[in-house]
Amino acid sequence: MRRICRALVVFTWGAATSGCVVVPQNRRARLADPMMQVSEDPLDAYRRQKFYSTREGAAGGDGVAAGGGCSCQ
Amino acid sequence: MQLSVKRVLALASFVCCLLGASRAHADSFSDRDILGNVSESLRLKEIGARATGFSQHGQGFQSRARAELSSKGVWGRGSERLTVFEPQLDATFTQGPRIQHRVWIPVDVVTAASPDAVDMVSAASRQNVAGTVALATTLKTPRLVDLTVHELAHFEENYRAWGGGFVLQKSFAEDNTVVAMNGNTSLDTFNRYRLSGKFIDREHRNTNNGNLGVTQLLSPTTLAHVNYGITVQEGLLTNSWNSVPFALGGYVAEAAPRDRVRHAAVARVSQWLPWNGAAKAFYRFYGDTWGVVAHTFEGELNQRLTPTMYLRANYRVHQQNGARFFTERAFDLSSLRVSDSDLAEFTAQTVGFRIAVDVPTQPIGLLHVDLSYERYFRSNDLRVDIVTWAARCRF
Repeated sequence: MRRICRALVVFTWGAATSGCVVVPQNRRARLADPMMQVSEDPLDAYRRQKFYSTREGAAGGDGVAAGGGCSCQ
Repeated sequence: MQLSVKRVLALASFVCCLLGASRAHADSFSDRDILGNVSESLRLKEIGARATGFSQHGQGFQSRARAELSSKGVWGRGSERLTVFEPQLDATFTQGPRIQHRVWIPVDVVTAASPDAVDMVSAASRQNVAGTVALATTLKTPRLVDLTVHELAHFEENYRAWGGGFVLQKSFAEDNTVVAMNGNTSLDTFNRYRLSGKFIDREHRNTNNGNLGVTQLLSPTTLAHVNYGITVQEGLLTNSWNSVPFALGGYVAEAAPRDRVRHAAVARVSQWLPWNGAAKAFYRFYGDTWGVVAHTFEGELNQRLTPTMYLRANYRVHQQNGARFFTERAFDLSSLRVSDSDLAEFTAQTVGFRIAVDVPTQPIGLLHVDLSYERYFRSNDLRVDIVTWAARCRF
């Protein structure tokens, strides 16, 4: 657990300070394609999160709370 | 005093620089200069709808529905059969160039959840309708951070929940790096009953959550995202109707700790493929103070078929060990116990596909439509078929 946290901190620090590796705006056409989005449609993200958090005791915690907010724990 | 030509030129250059700098400062562009006269009135930016239906089959020890008695007099697994219809609607409005509001209403209609088990307690086991109303407002401040505040109210039979939170987001290096942090809290209140159906008291559950995430462009065709989230829960963490088969016959109620700390760390990568496709990979690690440790991997392949249509195939595998007090039968009434199949050790898999169309239409704007089918199945006897479709208009 501690190793994972350390790796995350190092990645976060590295990403935040790597401003010199810049992809210019005019070279981001591929990244703007809907197929490339890392975040899903919000309604689909909710559907998935609700589905898994009511069926898997280890679901959630990925940008949203793990548990709470409905009667399924 | 005589000035040389060089000195005059140097002085003139210096004055020009000063004037230029002060003029540049005076000419800094305002929102109105760049965007023109933007209306400050409320305008509909986006509207979306999604409808999902699941059909679930399976059995679990926590359910008393159609459970069979063993030769030793101990109850076996009960039915987990249910169907769910889940419509959702959301709309996003802009109020000038910097303020955005989102209204979102998801509804769940669950039919035959735990039938026969708690019918004496509530009608929720026959047909349970749950609804949520959520609002979020975002303030965009280009030189500082984008701030979103959100709140929601959830209504369900015997159950109420209120939640709220904030998101802070800051972009660096021409949006190559986006750092986001958020905090969420929810307070749930609900009735607690004995398994016989007798009301005991009103109980609560409090959930607090914090996340820190970074999205980074790695190349013109590669995007990465990592996130760490911690969730702290306190209160009654069982749902008060799940039961545990008792070794001496009959059932007893679940007994779980009144607190739980949950950690989740995720990493995602999206890679553009040269044949007009995209591949995505996702890994998630989870650990909590109930002893549950899980690993989840998800892969996704997208292929563009035409300029407006693409196809997606996805596979997910989730492996978790059980909570340390999970049991299929209780021997001792003084110890912690749950027999909820969701807290058991299992491996779950999901396979699915989606077809999506994005069509620019002149009078409306961008119209998105998608249709998906997924099958979820896991090693401790649960199978769910899921069909979902959506339509979204961006004006």
